[in-house]
Amino acid sequence: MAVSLSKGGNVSLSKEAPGLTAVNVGLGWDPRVTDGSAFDLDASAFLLNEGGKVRADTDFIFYNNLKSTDGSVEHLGDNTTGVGEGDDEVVSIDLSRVPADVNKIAFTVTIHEPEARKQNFGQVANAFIRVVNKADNKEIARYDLSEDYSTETALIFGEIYRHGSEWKFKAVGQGFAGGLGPLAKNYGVNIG
Amino acid sequence: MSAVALVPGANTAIPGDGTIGVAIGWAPAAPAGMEIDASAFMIGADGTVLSDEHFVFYGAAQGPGGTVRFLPTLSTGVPGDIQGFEIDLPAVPPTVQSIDICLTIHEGQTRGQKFSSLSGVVARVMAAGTEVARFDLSTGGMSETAITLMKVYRRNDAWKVRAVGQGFAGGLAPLARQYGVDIAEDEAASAPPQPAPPPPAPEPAPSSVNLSKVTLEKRGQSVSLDKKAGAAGYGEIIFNLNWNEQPQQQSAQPSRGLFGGLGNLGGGRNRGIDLDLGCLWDLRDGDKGAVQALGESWGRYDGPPFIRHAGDDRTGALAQGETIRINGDRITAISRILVYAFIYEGAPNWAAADGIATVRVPGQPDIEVRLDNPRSGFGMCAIALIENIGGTLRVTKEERYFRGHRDMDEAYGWGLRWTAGSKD
Repeated sequence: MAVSLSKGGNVSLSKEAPGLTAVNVGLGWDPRVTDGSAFDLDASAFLLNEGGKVRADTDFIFYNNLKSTDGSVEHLGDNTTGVGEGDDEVVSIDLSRVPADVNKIAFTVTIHEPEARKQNFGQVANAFIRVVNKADNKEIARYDLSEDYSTETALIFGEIYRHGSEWKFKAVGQGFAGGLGPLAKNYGVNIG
Repeated sequence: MSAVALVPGANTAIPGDGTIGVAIGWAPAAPAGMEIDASAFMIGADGTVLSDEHFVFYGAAQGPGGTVRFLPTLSTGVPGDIQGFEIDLPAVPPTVQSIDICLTIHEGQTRGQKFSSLSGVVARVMAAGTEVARFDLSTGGMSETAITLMKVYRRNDAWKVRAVGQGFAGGLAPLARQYGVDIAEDEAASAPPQPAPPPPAPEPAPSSVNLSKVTLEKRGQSVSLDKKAGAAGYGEIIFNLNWNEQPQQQSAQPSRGLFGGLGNLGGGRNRGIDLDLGCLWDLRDGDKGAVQALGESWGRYDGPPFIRHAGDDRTGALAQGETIRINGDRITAISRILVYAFIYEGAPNWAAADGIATVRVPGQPDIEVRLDNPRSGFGMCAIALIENIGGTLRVTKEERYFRGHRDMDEAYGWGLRWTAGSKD
């Protein structure tokens, strides 16, 4: 049974799913049901080194750069269907092929054009992040952000990181001011 | 503790665990022709109401057990508070996860009204007599006519409030559907927050303040008028006809109010449309006749036929137009009255005249009949039939067009003899 995390909590993926080699990280939220601009939310992943920064700009995996250079991390694109019910976006990770100098992979969701659309995460219902074992398609860990956000327009949902020889998952649920650009810069990406 | 000002999406904890009040306001407080109503949906974990009784609104002012109570008029003393709710938080059943406070503009979509027409939309949450949170909704550019204003919801065994400010342009029906309340499309317009739907239902009680007019839109549509409580009759009933003169050359004759009626002396130029208001009357004693300016049949108010023409306005530029007064205290003497207008001068162009007839009864909303379905070439229009049915007045929209008095008389079986006449 999947581990349900609350904000700040973590779990060892390797212990929960012995022999784990690859995961799908699913991110989801309820679509807008009322009238007005739809919620256009973008999931991104950052491959980070020991210092918490990208090694190169190509470690920023997002809608314009769907796959890491080594192929270990792949964004399956917007609104993927068929990979786990309820996931709006999925990032597929081959843990066994993640380069040794990548210590952590952070998963973020940002609202596209929040000012123009007057939107924030407080209007988005039922946001979650979950980690699914690719081998058997079983959910290992899940974090429902529910109340862990409000007027933010960019959120770090969670992180997968090395802990000794294990892979762990942490529920972060932390807001970041300014959206995707500043968020990427914070991780050391050169935004033109 | 000062109140937390919420922006859409923001939330805050509600201190204490007693009964809270939610005060709702908007500006202007009584916008002309607009009806605004607050409602609340008591919803479960799945976001839908637990039952239809968990929809609290004008027509059902209390939720199950009285834990959520609708207050149609607030007297908090705070300017801007108009409607509100009392929510007994400790008594709210555990299955209710959220109480969503909504605001709807009645028939907003059909009337072309939306939230951008309003300003000062505010919801204030009061706990223990203190304002603990407030949400000022920015309505600029909002095309919605029904919105969820805020949610009062459970979180970790405590209550919180979140500002929402989202909704639907389509009004109450899609909003209610979102909450699992089905409102049939044809009911949607007149469903909830509506004290008394317009015709053919009876008028709202005289005690309720209803600034809206009753418009008889379709031919044959009628409305019955209740007498003022305790009154012997209806008082003075005013039947007014107003129209646009629509001069053909506006700039040539700035003082048309003085001269419009003499336009035919100027070789037919600048001639305005001259509508004459009149009525056929039929008394219970069998006497019958007509009241109209033509032929100077002005009638009498204090004696039979208890109908008096207030004079001739041949331009329509006067705000009052033409008026017939009916002695509503002598309604028992009257059997029926057919009010009509005819075009005395100018081409029978009803569309240009844009005539609007208003029936004004003391203590009642005005009844409007628009002459908006013209038949060109026919100079006579039967506007409305007023009937005494067992002592109750019934007004029916006729808007039937005829060539002249005689045709109309025959159509209604009045039986008067008609001869040609002239005002000159």
